[in-house]
Amino acid sequence: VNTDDLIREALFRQADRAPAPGPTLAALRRPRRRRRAPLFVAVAVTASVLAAIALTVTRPSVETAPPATATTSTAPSLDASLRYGPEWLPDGFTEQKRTLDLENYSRTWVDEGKDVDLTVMPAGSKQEKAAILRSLYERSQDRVDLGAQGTAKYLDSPEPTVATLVWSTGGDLLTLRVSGLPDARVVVRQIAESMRSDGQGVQRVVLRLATEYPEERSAGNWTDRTWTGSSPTEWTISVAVARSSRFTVVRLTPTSPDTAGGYPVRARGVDATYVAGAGGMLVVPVGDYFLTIGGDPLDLLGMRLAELTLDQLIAIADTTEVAEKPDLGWFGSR
Amino acid sequence: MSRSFEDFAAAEVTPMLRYATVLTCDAQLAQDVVQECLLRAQQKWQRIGSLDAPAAYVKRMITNEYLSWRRRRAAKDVAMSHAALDVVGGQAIDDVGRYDERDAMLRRIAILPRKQRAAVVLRYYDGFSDDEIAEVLGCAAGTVRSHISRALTTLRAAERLEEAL
Repeated sequence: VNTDDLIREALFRQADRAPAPGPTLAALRRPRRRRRAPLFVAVAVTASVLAAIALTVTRPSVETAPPATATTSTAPSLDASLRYGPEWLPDGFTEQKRTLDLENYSRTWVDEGKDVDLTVMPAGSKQEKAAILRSLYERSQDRVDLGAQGTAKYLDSPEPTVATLVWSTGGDLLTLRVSGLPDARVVVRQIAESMRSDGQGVQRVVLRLATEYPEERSAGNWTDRTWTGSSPTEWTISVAVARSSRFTVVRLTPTSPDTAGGYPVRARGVDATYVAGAGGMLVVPVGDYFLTIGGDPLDLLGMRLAELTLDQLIAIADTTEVAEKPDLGWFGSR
Repeated sequence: MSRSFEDFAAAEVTPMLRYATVLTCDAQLAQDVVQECLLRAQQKWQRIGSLDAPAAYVKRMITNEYLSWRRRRAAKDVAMSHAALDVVGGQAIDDVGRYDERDAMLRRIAILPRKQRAAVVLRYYDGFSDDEIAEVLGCAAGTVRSHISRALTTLRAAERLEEAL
């Protein structure tokens, strides 16, 4: 384990030791609550520590498991309208990644180690990152006129090959970042000036878990969808659902991951393969593709994979909605 | 229309307690800091509740409260004590070697200077960029990079030292 991963894992483990919220909420409800009596402190602390330990020890591993019933098709659409996209990019860049959470989406174009990232946060986003970006925008004095799109501002850059522009258009907050180019400031401005806001594209959700968290995103509780791929034949579509800082990852790929050492099981009414190991991995053929639950956690802030039993993995596989004919045409294109 | 303070507190108290526990390395201190900040937010809710992201504002209050001189004096860096970690450490689940590594790292993080620790928490727990951390800590992005660089140097050196012993 490298130091970065170990730091993340240590911090998330410490977060699990947080006291229960009850005493804090109770204190807020009391009319005179400025100072707590020493006895209350002792009782509250003891109770919260005991609660924290009890939660840590007894937290059921099924918290990330799906409910017994399958998801219904009446769930609200999670598809994202891709209104924004650049009309101009330097030669060689192709779109190779999209991410989508409850509010935001981002698109990434890549050319041999050089990246262009566009992140769009909708008007009224309550996410912390949106508030921080708005604040950074307001503080920056390094402005550039984008014509009809208004005024963008550069954020401080750690090096000349990286440049970030932030601007607001129609209430939406856009962040455009270029990295790996010697003239990053110039390029990011050119791309921003070519940005369209009337795109008709839609990013349709391909995977939908029964355990997705419908509420506002918060630390430890979120859903992220990622599409990565360099061509319509080499891609991974994944959804990660985190609850209480433990996450479950489900991926769809055109080829099966390595299942050496696995054994056959049944899931979604077909023959599947279970590979034991860290967190376990279940691979299920779905049409022309393969659905994988668990396994390699990818790059997800070092959060811990939920420790799921085979039955829970099968339950997730059985209740995961997989869209037919996902749109793969954009992988590796402009 | 902004939501009520009660709804806000009910929804945000758990992530705030988690963040504060990571920041302070001490569940008791975390509860104290979060409660203090929420009480202050409650009194000024008309203004805070109308902000774009009241949770972000309160989180900054928590960070500042932790970094404030009052906490430094009152806590006497009690959060740094290994005893505090052991008390809330859930030792019953410490029977896997990997978990011991995490606790060892946590102890190293706990002895970092406060601003370095806050920067490390915002980077590795929240996944914030240098700019975002700078905004929360009220300093320049370059200072953030310096905090994190020094923290990582300390953590890696401590790791090597412990491995050598």
